[in-house]
Amino acid sequence: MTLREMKIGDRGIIRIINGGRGVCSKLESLGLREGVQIVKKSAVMGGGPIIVEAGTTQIALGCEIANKIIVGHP
Amino acid sequence: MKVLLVGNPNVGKSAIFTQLTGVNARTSNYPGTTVSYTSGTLTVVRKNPACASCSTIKCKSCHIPDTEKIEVIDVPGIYRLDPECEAEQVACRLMPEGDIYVNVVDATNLERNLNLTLQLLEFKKPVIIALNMWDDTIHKGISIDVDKLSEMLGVPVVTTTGITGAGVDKLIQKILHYPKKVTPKKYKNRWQAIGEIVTSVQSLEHRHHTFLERLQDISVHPLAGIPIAIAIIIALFQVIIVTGEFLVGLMEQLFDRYYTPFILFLSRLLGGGGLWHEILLGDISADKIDYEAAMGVLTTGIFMELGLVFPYILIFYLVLGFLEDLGYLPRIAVLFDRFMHKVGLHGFSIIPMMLALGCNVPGVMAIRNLESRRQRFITATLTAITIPCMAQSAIIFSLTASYGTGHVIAILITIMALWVVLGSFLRLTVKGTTDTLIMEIPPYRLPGFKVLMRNLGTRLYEFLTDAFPYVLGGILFVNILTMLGVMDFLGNLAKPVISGVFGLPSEAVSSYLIGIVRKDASVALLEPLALNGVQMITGVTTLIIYFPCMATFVVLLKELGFKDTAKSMLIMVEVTILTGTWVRLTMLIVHNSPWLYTLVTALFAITVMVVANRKAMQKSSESL
Ligand SMILES: Nc1nc2c(ncn2[C@@H]2O[C@H](COP(=O)(O)OP(=O)(O)O)[C@@H](O)[C@H]2O)c(=O)[nH]1
Ligand SMILES: [Mg+2]
Repeated sequence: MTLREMKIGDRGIIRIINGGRGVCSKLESLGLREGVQIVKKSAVMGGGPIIVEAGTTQIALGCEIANKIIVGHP
Repeated sequence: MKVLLVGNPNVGKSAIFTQLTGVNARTSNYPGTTVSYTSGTLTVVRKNPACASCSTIKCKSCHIPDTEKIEVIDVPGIYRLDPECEAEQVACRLMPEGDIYVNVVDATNLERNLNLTLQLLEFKKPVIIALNMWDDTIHKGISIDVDKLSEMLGVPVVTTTGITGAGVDKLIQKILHYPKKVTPKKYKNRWQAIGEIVTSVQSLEHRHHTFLERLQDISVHPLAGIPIAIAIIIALFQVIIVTGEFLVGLMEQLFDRYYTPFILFLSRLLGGGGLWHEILLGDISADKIDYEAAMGVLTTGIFMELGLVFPYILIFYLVLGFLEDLGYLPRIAVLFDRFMHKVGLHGFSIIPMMLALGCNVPGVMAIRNLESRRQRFITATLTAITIPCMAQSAIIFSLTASYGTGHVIAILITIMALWVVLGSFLRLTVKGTTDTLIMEIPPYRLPGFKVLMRNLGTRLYEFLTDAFPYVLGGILFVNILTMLGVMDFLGNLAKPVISGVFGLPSEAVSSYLIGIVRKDASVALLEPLALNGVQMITGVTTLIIYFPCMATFVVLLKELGFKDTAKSMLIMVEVTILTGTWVRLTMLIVHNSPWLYTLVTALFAITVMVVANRKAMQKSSESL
């Protein structure tokens, strides 16, 4: 399932990031890369950004990107 | 010797910098405060360990000059060494200049921070790690084996707390005795190496959610987040206006009691009239002074800045400073991301705009954190055209209050409508891309009182030193030009637009002239013209729009370059004329009712936004 589809409060592991190099390296520098465990904290109403927690960091992602991140069960 | 403070955004580099050098670097709790570098000097007393009396600047017993000056540079925050936005490029260009890298690391975010650390270790430069936010690790149940970390990385590690200065002395010692021999490291798989380090030095302890963490969750709640944010923003503006008014009242009393006698004394000294009396004191009668209308350098000039503007600046920056250091601004950016897409931007752009409400200069400077040219252009243009700074807003509040709430709201809505309409237009016409939001959200941190006061102090000082020379000089200039008859001449020249289009008396030309230098003074110059309601709305809105002050213009040139600034200016002129015409015509149609005018204007803006949104959607689906 994509990060967008994931339920708020659930835990998951990032499996695939379907993004270009730029996006991937930016996500990686924030600690989001394949194999990392995350918790989905919130999704702002009206198609707004999605907030995930990885380790101790919270990161907001626009929903276009959240659509490109595939997460699996931990 | 040059020391570079390098690290991820928002790890406390500026806080450490201030502790090391005593130079104030502004801190705030969101990524991207430091967009250009600040440098300062750390003066250390180097003691001769063999000498007992070594502590003075030049030791009398061993004659060693024992102070040393070390240059310290607060580098903009970076996540990695391949730069994307301007601020990151500034950082990367600075790297070769440093002799020592002090890598400031957020101890509560070890894993992510080490990514940059390992990249720094690949340089052939000595690295010292300041494990900052050390106080926070305790609340968060994180414990880190510092010696082990130092051993695994092969560089000195010092724990520090940027806000209190704990550990900074030790850091200085490490800087003085930095490792002279450096062997650059090479990591084949960086993340694997980081994983190994983190698992062996860090242990987490489970603990309950703190109050701040709960507050964090509520502020970005899927449903409640936006309504709460809107309520907070409205409430804060209410607070700013009410407190501002109160402080202005207080200032007026102070002026009446202590300053008026001085001015009256001066007036008698100058013989109660004549050239200098006119320029310095303006239009005053023997016992009562109307500070807002007198237009003398020492009456209106001084009173405007100290009595009218300063109170609002004070309360605005107090509120903004609190929100900044708490960490609420990035959350506002996230909540309004969707909305900002309607004007071709993403959420982060709201931060420069909020800063611009204080002063446009730092607002336009903050656009460096935006990724694409399109985003920078739209943000800068919208900011420079539609966002009045607090100095200007303060004068607008006090000037328009006597016209009634309807007029104040009409001005407010005109400017907001313009923001929406112009933004929609720019979204459709400016070429390029707008990235999707990817942003770290820092945890809430209760700002320390001292830090708040220091940041406030810096901003007030900047305001006063910037404003006074220009305002006093500006009024002096206008007074002289008026006496020489130059104003009449210019007034006649500009008459077609100012009187013909805007319907203002031709004397208003002095407002537009001074507005080039100072926006607060320019609005204040409308006061003696005794404008009617419609003229007031036209005058104030066009004065907000037609040109940012000179200081903002210079920054705009620097950030956008010549071509884009020229484009921005062209838009500015067109928009000014269109807005002036809109106000005048609409007011004519609604028979000068400010409420009806507000309604029509708001409806117009919403319609434009909806239509533009549909167009943009069509365009993007065609291009797919
Ligand atoms: N609790 C805590 N807060 C800190 C510490 N150092 C800095 N801060 C706060 O963290 C935020 C970011 O600091 P700043 O110096 O602006 O970070 P920079 O972006 O790296 O320059 C500010 O709100 C500081 O007041 C620290 O050691 N402990
Ligand atoms: Mg900084």
